[in-house]
Amino acid sequence: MADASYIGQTLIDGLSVGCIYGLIGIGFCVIYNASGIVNFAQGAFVMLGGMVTFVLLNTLGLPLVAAGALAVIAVAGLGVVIERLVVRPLWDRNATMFVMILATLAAQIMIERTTQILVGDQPKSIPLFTDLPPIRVAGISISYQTIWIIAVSLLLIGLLALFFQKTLVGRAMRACSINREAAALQGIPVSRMLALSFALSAALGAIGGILLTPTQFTAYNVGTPFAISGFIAAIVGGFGRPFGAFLGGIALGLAQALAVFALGSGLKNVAALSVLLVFLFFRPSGILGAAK
Amino acid sequence: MKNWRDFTSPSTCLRASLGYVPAVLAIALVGYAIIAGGFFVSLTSFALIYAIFVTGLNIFMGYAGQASFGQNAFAAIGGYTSAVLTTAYNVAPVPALFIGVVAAVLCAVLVGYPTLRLKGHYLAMATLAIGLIVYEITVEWQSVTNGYMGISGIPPLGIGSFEAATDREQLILLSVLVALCMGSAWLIRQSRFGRALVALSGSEDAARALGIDVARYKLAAFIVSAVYAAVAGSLFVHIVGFVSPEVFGLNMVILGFTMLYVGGIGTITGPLVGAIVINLLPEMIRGLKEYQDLVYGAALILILIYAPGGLAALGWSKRRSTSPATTTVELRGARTQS
Amino acid sequence: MNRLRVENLTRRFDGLVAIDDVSFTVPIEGVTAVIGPNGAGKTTLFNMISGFLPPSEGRIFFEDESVTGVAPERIAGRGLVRTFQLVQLFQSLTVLENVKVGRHVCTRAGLVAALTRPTWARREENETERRARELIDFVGLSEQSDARASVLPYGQQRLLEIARALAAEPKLLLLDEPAAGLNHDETDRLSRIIRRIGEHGTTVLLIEHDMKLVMNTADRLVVLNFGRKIAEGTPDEVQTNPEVIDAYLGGVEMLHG
Repeated sequence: MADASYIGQTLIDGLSVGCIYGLIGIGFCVIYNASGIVNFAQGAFVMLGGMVTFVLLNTLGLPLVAAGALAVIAVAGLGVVIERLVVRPLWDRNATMFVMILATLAAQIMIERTTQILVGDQPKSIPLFTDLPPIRVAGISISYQTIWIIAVSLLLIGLLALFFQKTLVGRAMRACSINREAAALQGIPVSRMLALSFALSAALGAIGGILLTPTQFTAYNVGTPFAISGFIAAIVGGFGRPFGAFLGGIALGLAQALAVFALGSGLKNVAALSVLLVFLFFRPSGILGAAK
Repeated sequence: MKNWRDFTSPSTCLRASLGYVPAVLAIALVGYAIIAGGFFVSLTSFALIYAIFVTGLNIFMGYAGQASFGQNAFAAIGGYTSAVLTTAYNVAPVPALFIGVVAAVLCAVLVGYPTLRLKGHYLAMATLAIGLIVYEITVEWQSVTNGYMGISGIPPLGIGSFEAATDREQLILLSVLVALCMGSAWLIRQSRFGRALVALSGSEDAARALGIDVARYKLAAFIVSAVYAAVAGSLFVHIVGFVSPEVFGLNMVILGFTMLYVGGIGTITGPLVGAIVINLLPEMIRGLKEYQDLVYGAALILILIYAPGGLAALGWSKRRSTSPATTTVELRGARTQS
Repeated sequence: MNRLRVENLTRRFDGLVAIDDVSFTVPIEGVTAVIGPNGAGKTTLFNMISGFLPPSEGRIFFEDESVTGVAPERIAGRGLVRTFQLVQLFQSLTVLENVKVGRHVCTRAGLVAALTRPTWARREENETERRARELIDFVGLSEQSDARASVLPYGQQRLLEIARALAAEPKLLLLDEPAAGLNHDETDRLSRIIRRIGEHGTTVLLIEHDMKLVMNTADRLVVLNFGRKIAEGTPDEVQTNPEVIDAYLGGVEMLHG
């Protein structure tokens, strides 16, 4: 029936956006676990992923893959720059959490404004990864981009799991998140872990942005809604649990899609924000419960 | 709260007085604007409106040490209520303002109960969400707010037959209002109520052990802050004559914080100083319109790092633990002060 | 009537029993001290009495009225005020203002009074100022009344916290390790202050490790070990109690300071 497939379509679209929210949410968790800071500049990384790729594609004529890869590296680098210039000085001066949140928010605004000055107001886009007609399954059309999004997200989750469980660096980062002082006493370079967490988080955000941009336009100011959605994902999943954040992102994407379906697209953001408030008020530890 | 017995030498006297310099300059600037008239007047008017908004923010964040990223919501409520009532229902400005304030207070009570139980970044995010939700409502509730198109033709401020129609009259009126607002902020700080608020920022446990109902006082501070915000919002729409969702958007939040920190969080004159500096400074540097946000962002970051006490804290001697700005916001695993 | 009566108080944390079936009374007169080796559960006991922690079992009576599970601010309103093991001053307030906050329970001016300043409120403020200065004198901090609390050296911060608690005119004052971190002279001064507080009609219940302070100040002792009460009585009675001697590894020497 037309209705069932429409719901199915909505859900698939929600799932795909949800994966992106999840990636952003993981980024929040990674930084929070390493430092206790909520990095409000996260949204800017998402925006820059798509934007830098666009610039590299069109000005240097690089192939999509190269442009994307370079963009991710560049944004990761920017993450480290923000950590060094904004977060570290505040950290060293014992600034309160609120001050750090505010500073990262200011950094986000600066990035947005710089981007606006450099590339202008017009929305930009990058081409679809696979330029083929969508697959149709039971009346639902699944575009190849959606498949890319889900596939890359799952791959990233797998790689992150491996990274945190098996590699020395990953385990060191986890040690930092569990107990910073003990980790420092063990000889783990905590400040380098902090920089690494920003780089990783920025990279995740950038990848999310690159994956999503072919389906939506990007502009200098798309960062903030993404940051908020990513934060909601992290809260819903239980702040501090990266994989919970991913599930939270999916949940949020689905909830939002259903809300749009039921109430119309105008209330999309209100739906997302209401989900956030519900969780904050009634279950701040998220679906899975806070990380121990 | 300076120790007057420290005025033993000219140098300490000078240093302590430095703290007053920005405030005196700010007031002088306002006076100049009133007398000189012209372009300066509207800028200064905006600065004064923001000073009211930031004074409210200061009470919640500077005195009580809480965090709110969503006070613009109350400004929106005050502003839109005034706009709608004075245009569509022909209500006079002053009653409309009162109704707007009442609406904001009701909203603050409703929202405050669950929100203020939260701490740290949860509180920050919840208040941000509330601010954004109100923004979305002003955009979507087209039948009332006219969405992005906004409401225009809002009459100027006035009481009875007296209307503050010219820029200069508005500025004088605003100056009086700002003086009242800052005066009330001072009265609050000197009182038992204000001390209890600052106690909250020092140690909630100790406050409770001394009989202070922490939850009630936090809510009270939140409501007071909302009142100032609603008044500011209402004044704004009357001065400009037009309102749209963007006016009370995230920009207002950032600007508010910047002014609060530049001026000096927790101080009495800080909000005024911050508002004047942030509004007037760009005018001093022509051609900076495009780069305005960049400069604000950079300035805010630099101030947060190097001068978290702001301008009004100039001249205070070094102290181990500083203003409410450095009291703890509890977070799992985050840096805390002991 | 006793000032405080604790009945069968128990507190468990996830399987660990921190306080195990503790009962004792605190008479109205004088100074009572709760002592015991580290980890005996003394601060947990205080947290329950002052309302910061609900007991798992048992009841607490303040002047024969139950305060079990009552919120700390309401318990303070009834006249039971505590200090903290780690000094909890209001760092951004001055010494004088800190003590003024202590008067909160005895006063009632609110936001409206702050703005309209009726005569009764102004009288109340004057009285608050007068009492606060009296108390600051009592603990010997008058020189610093306008200094910010954060600049005080540690020993004086302790005294400030006590002055602030006294401003609430408590019937029962709970002092949580007031001598921690104080040097010899400061401890002596503290001991004299505590005795004077007790003589003025305020019941004092304190937790302490410093045996010398306890022996010089307390009229009655309650001894805890591993969450259980093992003795209760005058210092002489307690000193000769074999279980108490056992509990303190240092043996008799410990008790004689």
